[in-house]
Amino acid sequence: MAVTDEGLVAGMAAGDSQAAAAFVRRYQARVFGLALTIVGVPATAEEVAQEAFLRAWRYAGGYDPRRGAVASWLLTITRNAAIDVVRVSHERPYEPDTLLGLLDPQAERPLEGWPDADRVRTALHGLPHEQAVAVVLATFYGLTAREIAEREDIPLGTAKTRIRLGLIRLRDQLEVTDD
Amino acid sequence: MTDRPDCEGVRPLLAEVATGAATGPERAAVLLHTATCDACRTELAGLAKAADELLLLAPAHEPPTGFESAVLNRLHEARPARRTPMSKRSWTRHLAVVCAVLVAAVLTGAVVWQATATDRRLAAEHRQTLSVAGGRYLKALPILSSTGVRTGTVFLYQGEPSWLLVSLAGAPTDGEYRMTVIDRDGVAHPSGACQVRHGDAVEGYPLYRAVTEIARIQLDGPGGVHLEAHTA
Repeated sequence: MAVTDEGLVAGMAAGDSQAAAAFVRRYQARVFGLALTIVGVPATAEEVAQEAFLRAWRYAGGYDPRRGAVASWLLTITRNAAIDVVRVSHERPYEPDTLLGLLDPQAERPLEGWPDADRVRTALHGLPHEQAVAVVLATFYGLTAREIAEREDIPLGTAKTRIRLGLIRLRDQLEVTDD
Repeated sequence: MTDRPDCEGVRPLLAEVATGAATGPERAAVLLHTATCDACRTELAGLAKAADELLLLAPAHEPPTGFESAVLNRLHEARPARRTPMSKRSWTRHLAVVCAVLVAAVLTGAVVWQATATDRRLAAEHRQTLSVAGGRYLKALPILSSTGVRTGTVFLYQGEPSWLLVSLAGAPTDGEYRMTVIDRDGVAHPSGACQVRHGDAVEGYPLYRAVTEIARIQLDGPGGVHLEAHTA
């Protein structure tokens, strides 16, 4: 029987290199995929993905399962590493097509074994389109409300409202599907 | 320096902090408030969980050949060096020292435990606040002028992401102040600038190194004005 995600993280926290190898094999496509989505350049994405696994290895002892699944924890680390790189380079390489793909009901299906992605996709589709765009831009690309306002050509207050209402509604819908 | 933010002021910012869209000062205000407000802390945790789950939608891509071995090599290099085995005599001496320290610690701890209930509650709240954004440290340092007059505060936060916040009140001159982070090896890292108006400024910046690696932060303004904050 396969070791659980939590078991692998616990192994990494104890310095077990075999647990780390299994963890990397299990998540490398997800981590590299997210990094590529954000930075847009394969060579940079590879650097970001490596950095994400390094941070996961260092912070494994701080993982708290009460705060979310291992996949979310690792992908959040990856997102933060990618945004660090984007901010240093002062480039905004996000592709509108990638963003629209996330919002498209007919978009690429998640990998087998990732049922949570379908649940989240359904919740995201439940949002008004403009709120979903604002939440995705902020969450994936780390855009501030001001940057979203400039990109969407809307007042700053409107951008803030879209992020707030969109995320609250997304949270509520995810909580409903959790029940 | 600033008024402590209340629930009414913080609630509209929680979603932006949860997604990462908040500015440095906004994030600092929210973290300051959630350190002592259970309701806002719970709300922030729920929103952050939803934002994190959204990342599951990113399409998967197989990385280039050799990725796994490259990662494992980096993990191996990052692993702390293994200690050399101690001799039996050395081991016995270490054990005696450890026992003595433990006994002293237990006796001292019993007294301190009674006297520091408030501090412990505050520390627990602080840890819980840090945990919302994967935080490790939150440190505040006074910013001093060359004559030793306090002109502001710098906050250093180590988490996901790490950031620093410079707050000036009563800076000697207005204009652009260049900020430089100096690490413990003495290497200077130019880290941006802040605009001071009427002696005041509040600016947040991403932090790309561990808080423990930082020795001091200096701000150089118009007319040779030099301000510094030391970590130790």
